[in-house]
Amino acid sequence: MTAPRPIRNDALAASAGTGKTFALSSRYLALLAAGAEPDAIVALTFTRKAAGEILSRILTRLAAAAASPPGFAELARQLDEAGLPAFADQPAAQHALRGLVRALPCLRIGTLDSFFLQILRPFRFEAGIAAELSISPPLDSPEDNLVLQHLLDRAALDDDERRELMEIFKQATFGEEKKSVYGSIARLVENQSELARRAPGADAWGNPARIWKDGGARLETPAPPDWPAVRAALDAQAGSLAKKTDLKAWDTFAAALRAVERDGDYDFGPALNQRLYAAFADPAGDHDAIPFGRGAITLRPETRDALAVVFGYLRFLLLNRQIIRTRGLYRLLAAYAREHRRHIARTGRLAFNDVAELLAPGDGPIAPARRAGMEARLDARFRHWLLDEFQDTSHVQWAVIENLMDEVLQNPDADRTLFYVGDTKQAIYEWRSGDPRLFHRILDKYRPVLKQAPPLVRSWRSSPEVLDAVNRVFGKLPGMPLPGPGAPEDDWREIAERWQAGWTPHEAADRNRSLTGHAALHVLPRLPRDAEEPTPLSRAVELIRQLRLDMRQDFDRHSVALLARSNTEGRALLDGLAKCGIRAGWAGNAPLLDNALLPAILALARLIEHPGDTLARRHVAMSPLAATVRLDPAALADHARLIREQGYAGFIARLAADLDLDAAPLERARLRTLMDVAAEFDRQPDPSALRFCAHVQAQEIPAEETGSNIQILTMHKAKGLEFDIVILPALGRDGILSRGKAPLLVREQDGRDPVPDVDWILAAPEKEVIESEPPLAAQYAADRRTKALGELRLLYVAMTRARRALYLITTAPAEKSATLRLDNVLQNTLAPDATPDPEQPVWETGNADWWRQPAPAGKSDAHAAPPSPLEAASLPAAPIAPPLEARIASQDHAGGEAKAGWLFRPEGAAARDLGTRVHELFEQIEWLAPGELPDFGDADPAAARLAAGFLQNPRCHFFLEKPAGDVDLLREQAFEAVLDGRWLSGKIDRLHLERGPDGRPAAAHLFDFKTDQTADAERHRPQMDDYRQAVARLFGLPPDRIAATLLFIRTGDALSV
Amino acid sequence: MQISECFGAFALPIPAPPDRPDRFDSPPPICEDAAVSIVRHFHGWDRPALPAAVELLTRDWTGSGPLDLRNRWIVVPTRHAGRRLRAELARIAAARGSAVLSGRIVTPEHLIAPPPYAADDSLILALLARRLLARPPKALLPSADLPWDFAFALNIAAQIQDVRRQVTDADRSLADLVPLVPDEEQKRWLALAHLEDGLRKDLDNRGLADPLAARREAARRSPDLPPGTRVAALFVPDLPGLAARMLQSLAVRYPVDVHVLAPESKCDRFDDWGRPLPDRWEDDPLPLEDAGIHVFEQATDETEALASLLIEAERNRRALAVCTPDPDSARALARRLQADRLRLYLPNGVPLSDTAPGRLLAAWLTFRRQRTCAATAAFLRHPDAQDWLLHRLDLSDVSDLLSEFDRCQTAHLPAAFDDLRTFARDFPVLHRALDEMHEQAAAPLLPFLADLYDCRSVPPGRPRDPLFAEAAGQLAARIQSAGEAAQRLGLAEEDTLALLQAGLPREQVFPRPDPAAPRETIGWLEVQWDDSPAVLLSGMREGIVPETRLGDAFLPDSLRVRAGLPGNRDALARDLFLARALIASRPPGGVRFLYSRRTANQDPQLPSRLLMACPDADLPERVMRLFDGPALRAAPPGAPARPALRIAPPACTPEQIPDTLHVTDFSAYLACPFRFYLGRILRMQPEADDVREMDPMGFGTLAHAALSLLPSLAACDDEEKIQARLLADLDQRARRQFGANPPLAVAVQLDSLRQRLRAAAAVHAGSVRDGWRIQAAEQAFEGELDGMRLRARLDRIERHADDGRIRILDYKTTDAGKTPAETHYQPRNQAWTDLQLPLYRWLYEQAHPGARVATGYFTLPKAARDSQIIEWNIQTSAGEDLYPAALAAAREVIAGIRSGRFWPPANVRPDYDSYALLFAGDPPLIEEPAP
Ligand code: SF4
Repeated sequence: MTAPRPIRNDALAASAGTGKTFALSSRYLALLAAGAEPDAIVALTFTRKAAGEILSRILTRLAAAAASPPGFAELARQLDEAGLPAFADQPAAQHALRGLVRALPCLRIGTLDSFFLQILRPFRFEAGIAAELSISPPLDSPEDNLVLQHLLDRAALDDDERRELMEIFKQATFGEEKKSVYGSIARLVENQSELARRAPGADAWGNPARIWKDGGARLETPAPPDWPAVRAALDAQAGSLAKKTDLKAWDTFAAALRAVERDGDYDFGPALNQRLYAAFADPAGDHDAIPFGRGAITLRPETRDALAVVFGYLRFLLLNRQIIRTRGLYRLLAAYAREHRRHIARTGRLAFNDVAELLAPGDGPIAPARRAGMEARLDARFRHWLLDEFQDTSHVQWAVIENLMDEVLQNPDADRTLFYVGDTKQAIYEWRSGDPRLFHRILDKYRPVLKQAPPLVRSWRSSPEVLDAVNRVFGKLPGMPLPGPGAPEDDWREIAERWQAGWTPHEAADRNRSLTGHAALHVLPRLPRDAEEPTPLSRAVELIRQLRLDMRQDFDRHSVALLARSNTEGRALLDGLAKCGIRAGWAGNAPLLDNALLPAILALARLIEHPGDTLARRHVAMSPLAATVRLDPAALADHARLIREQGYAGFIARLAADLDLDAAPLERARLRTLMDVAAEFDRQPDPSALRFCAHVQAQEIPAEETGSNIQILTMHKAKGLEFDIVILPALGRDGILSRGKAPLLVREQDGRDPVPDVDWILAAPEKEVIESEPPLAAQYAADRRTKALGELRLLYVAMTRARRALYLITTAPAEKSATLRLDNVLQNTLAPDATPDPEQPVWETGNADWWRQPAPAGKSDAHAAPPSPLEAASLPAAPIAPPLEARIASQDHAGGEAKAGWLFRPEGAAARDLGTRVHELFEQIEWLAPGELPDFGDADPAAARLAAGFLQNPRCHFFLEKPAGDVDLLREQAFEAVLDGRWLSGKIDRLHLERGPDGRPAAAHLFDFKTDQTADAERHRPQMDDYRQAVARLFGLPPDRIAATLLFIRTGDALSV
Repeated sequence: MQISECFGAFALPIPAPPDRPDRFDSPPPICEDAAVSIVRHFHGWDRPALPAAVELLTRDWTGSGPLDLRNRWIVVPTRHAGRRLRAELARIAAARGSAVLSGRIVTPEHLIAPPPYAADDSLILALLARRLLARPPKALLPSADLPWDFAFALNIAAQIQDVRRQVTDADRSLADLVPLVPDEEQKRWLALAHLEDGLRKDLDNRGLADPLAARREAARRSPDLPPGTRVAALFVPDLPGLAARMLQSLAVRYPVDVHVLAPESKCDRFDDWGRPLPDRWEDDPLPLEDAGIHVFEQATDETEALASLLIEAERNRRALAVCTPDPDSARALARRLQADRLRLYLPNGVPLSDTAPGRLLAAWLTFRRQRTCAATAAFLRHPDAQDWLLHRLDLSDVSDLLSEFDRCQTAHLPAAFDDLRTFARDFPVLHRALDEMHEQAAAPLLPFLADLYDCRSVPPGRPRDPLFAEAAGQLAARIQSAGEAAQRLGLAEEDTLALLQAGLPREQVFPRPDPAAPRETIGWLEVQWDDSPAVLLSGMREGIVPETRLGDAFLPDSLRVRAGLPGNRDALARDLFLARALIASRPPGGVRFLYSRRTANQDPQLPSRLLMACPDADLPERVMRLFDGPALRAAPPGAPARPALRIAPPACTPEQIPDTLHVTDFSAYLACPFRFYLGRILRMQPEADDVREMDPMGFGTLAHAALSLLPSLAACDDEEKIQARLLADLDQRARRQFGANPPLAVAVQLDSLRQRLRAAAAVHAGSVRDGWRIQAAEQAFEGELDGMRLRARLDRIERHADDGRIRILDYKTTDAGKTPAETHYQPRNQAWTDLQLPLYRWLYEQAHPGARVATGYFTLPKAARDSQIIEWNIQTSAGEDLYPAALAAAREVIAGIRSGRFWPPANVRPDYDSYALLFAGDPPLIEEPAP
């Protein structure tokens, strides 16, 4: 055995299709080969699906190596190529496989989320959580936020806070048409909580000293302008304006200033208003001549001086409003966070985000010392860390493991390693707070202990042609010509250079080198006014039609993806194909309510609780349920009862049983899914119908497999997938260089820390205001660049899904448009000077006949045996014993359930209790001599009194005296019998069994003690009949030889039945 | 969403402290004492447990006379196993024309009777919570700023009590474990032990015993049994330590037999109590063929396969045992079968809080504790509560009650019960119902529930709730015991209710056997107690079989092992043994292991290690088969079906055609004739209680109401005065409608309304200054157009003081403040979207022929400073007169309605469509009503 190769700490950049999961599983296997215990290796990723893939990849690769010498050699070669140690020999691999299987329950191959949950669970008390942890399902809508409801309804705020909150709400909701106040608040809280976690202190929120570090804030409250003087100056200026257009604009401006005077609002719409604001915002700027129209408006000195004051004041107003708003927002979020923490502490219900947040150092509830203890344990336990999709790791996630990683990296001699793999080019989850910058920042911080492994650029997925297109588009972005004048060149240059820094040209892996493929760019001319086609979508449909014609039967063997930007476009594609008779699968999620049955069930559920809802009532009446469901009050009450008894799942199952869905397979499938959804819902404490409806409406189910080779899905969903043919017909209409509508400006602190703190936050003011404030403008530009990078990444992800063929369908830009869209990026990199063409591609490479060449064999199922079918015929058969219908004798006779109050009556409970105790007393009695009263000792006095009273009566006493002859006594005797096919279990209070001269039972007398208030023998007759039959069975006696007597202890009656 | 945590799940181990014992001496070794007689018996594993047990118990029965088992004490693994055994014995006896005199058949848990003087669960929890609250143990909960109160403490108490219970099962106390934990855990455990100690003292002081300690004591004493009694542990593979201790005590006086379902030759693989020894089983391969393993793609595929096999078996009356270790999948299977009209009995327990009476009590407790409107609703919606109210209020059904509740909620948006009650004055039925609730809110629980349940009426013939009686009994006992605990401890009412509520989810209710269910599922531990030759083991996944305990806050696996509690290795050994015996006891091919790679939610799940317990040489192949090979599907994927069912709205009958239209109906018809039909003719209107703020209608109504006082200020141009009057009026109305403390969202709306009224005052003053005087407000008009009666109520009719011009204005409170031209007419396609103003003009002109009428909006948009009067004289922007066209359009609408033309519906974005549910499907699945 050669000396094992050391395993280094590595950060691995792996471009799309270069085998990330493979690399990660190689690393895992190498660690095993080097002797690491499986339960000391942590491998974390983001989705359960990915985790499952990693584990099965590890297991099956190891299994293949353990199975045969060629398999073993293959693994050895692969590990060697990756510079990793391999197993010594095949038995070693076999041994490792067994070890891995044995350790299955304690393997740490999973998602970050569940890993964190597992850490928190045993530490929940340290985190101040009183209850067992449970992950609450995502809210069906932000309005369902219980904590927020309590916060707002309970008015846990004092009057000032209430007033201030109102103020924030008003501002937060201003301009949002059609949205409810409540919904707006709920969304605000939902969207900004993450930020509140990152910036828990008030300092960062609306703090001018942080924003204008050079003291440029000048935010001391200025005196309001002398408005009459201002008006006079404006009038005078107006008098001096010669041009009509100038005058008109000036009047508008004057009106805007009146609005400032009145409401503190300034209209930034008109051009002159903008210019003036911009000019005066810069104290050093030129305030004399304001460019307007083709010329400029020269301000008179009084006007200039008056406006300097006015704009100083206005600037203050506008910025101060945002500052107040930001601080108010902070207070809202802080109040919410406090309430949220308490909610978790009380209920243990939390979301995955909360888990990481609780575990992260800093503001979390776990004391530092405890946290250190926790980390020490984790550190002792886990030696090797493998982190997948690292570009999607969020700050708080990193914060949880940061100290541990520090430990790993700072003690290089210890037997611990870190490995992370990711591709910042594929970081499209920034909206989920993943931060791709971590990838390099961590590398920077820990160099040289942590090294960047040679990046993986050899694609196992794509043909050289596809890669060629990718390289052409993404390889020279800085040099790409921009559309029209006015495009923000500086922005673009910076974005492109940032992209370029992380770029390595892609190449095909050996096995794909000689693979033919095809890549083409279509640029469609802009649609004339009335024409509806060709749009990129219609062109895509046409392309598929053509491919089907050309490829004939080969077409079905290839997987095809149509990637859309949005669900709407996806569905439009689906429709378009359907119109041509082409079946495709919608790989996005489908709503559960795509049929007429389920909505009717929801309407019924609503109606049960809201009988005045005539919409629901008539809906059901005109629905497929109408035939089987009654809607009268009694029927509705019956449904309501069923729902409380068996939940919505039981209710729906009952509905299903009455429906004939043989001819409606889709509805039947949906109904089954609905039952599962309902079962999940039934776990929740509040089963109201409206919440049930909201829950079902929020459900999206994975679309069923269609059997079609064509899939339509969104670009975001395509991540991690691959297809033979990829068509990209809808890259989005928006420019990639606009910032979008984020309501807050957030600046991070500079520095080299992997996780920078938040420096300042400000509710974004009007764009014009931002642009006149350098710190705000800088952040605004940075946001814009981040967004643009995100767009490029999305395009990269989409293009790299293709194995063989890639078809890009774009539209020519509008004339003179300076907006840069993804369409333009493709056009300007692949075919900058092309003339749009409605039919033919303007750029292509490779061979349109690529499909004639078969693809090389990849992962194959060759070794996998077919699954063993499960068929009734293969099972050993035996007839089933006739079923026994079970009864518990005494309970069944105890009256129906309808009038059930007795179960709760305190007297009833006491009586039951007393009954039990009286039974116990009588069980002790064997035989009494005539007149003898038993000594009940320290028995319950009430019971003893009753029993004694009963026995005072000689008629009753008689039954406890030993009869003449050979009599056996059985007390409290349980029995089991089968009577008329029914299985009866019971307990006989007392049985006298007379034996005949031959010693065999000759007659019997059975007794039952009752503590009823009145002696009603009929009530108990069915029970006694059953008992008599049972005794007959037990002792082989004819029923007429069996006497049965009810002894009513309370009333002193002995009644034969 | 259920989180499958088995994926990469783990427990933090606690390393053994250096100089402490590594494992407690558990199980209690059988005493060397000669008087003790415990004998292990090995029965082979060539048949199931049930026949083996029956054979054992009937061995001495001659068949004449009853099968007399009176002197037998039998311990079986689960209650369902016991039930099976009893039924089988009854059957065997019946086959010989006799019956069974039963002995005691118990589960290990019930082997030890709880002593009568022991305190009950409620009291223990209350005492623990009290102690925690009095001095929150820093060692346990170090965080500052915790919401300490009784309910919070109860939560912790419940968890501590659970730990105690587990520890007791192994015949230990918390203090016993202190020496076993590592240093950093010492403080915590000392705190726990201290708590336990304090609890004992508390109980002592009250003359009560700790039930758990009492159990341990009881296990050390042998009860007096009739002479000749024999005790047998019947095929119990995981006898807990405490039960073993009890058997040991019994063995001093009575013979005790431990029966093991394994051949004698394997006797060294079991301990004295018949429990498999981990190191003897862990590496022993299972004789499990590939053909006995069925890998499914997804859990739903598996359920589907099971369902069809069960239906098949039922049809052919074949025996088939289905074992579902995971109760959730058992329930899924039951539902699946129920839909096919085959009933499946599930013996699993259900938390008390999930039963119908449990839900009622929970709703009532929440109501009493929170007194919110939402809690009131939850109670009112419970059918048992409804039966009670029907009886008390002498109603025939609850429709009015629920409907009044909805309407009251929507109108007044109360958050608290007391507000609701105040507002309910206008809702007679609701009002009385709330009075009833209010009256009972202070009443003792048991009498209240007794009264309530006396009113319960279940229609005859309806299948009975198999949980009801049990659940009600358990609830009554819970209430009783919480009440007693409260009395003993002098708990505040709030705390008593919290105590009671905390207990509900902790208690399980077991369903009564369902006589109507021909089939049942069985759990993993009792699968041997079914003797069908064919056994399907479903859901064989890691974490379930074998069960793995993970992340326990107090008892991680390492500590369990040291303390003699069953750990994960024991679980594996037990399950390997069970599987082994199961396979051996059935004909070849009789036992099938089913495993699905993914849950119904598509999450991956791992196969049970049992499936990989094959010889090493077969392992690679097995792993590939489980993880990589093709898997079974319920049905091969095919074309997705299209929806087959449709909504069939009734056709409009001639009687339904209205003879009167309100002017506002026109825009509804123009927007979508079909929705007009649904709303205005079929009168389909939603009603619910989920509103949290005013809707635009309510908002507008309130604004209109305030503005309706403007005629009294017809000539006033003093802005401030107008403002003051309007705002005062609004405040008064708002207070009447929402009370003094409206929900925050409403407060925000009112604030916005105030702003708008302020702006309205300015606009009004301006119009007065311009010479306009209000002539009438809210005036009703009627007229007849093409034989259709038209009605309208005009918000504001002004007349110009100078020239007598008339201006008809409509207040618009929509946020956007659109102009009349925008809302009425689309010049691009020359389409009308509203006809309000032209029809106002027309109506006015009918009443006042020859009048010069202008029309317009008085807008009060969200941006209050944009409030203004926008005249629109029914012209295009180019000045073309549209009035004749508008009237023509109105005539067309009238003609359309009169001829019942309501088809086709317009496309409306679902989030703006209150009929969205009806219009589900793409395209909507609504049939055109037959004419
Ligand atoms: S803990 Fe949660 S559920 Fe309870 S009152 Fe607070 S927010 Fe509401």
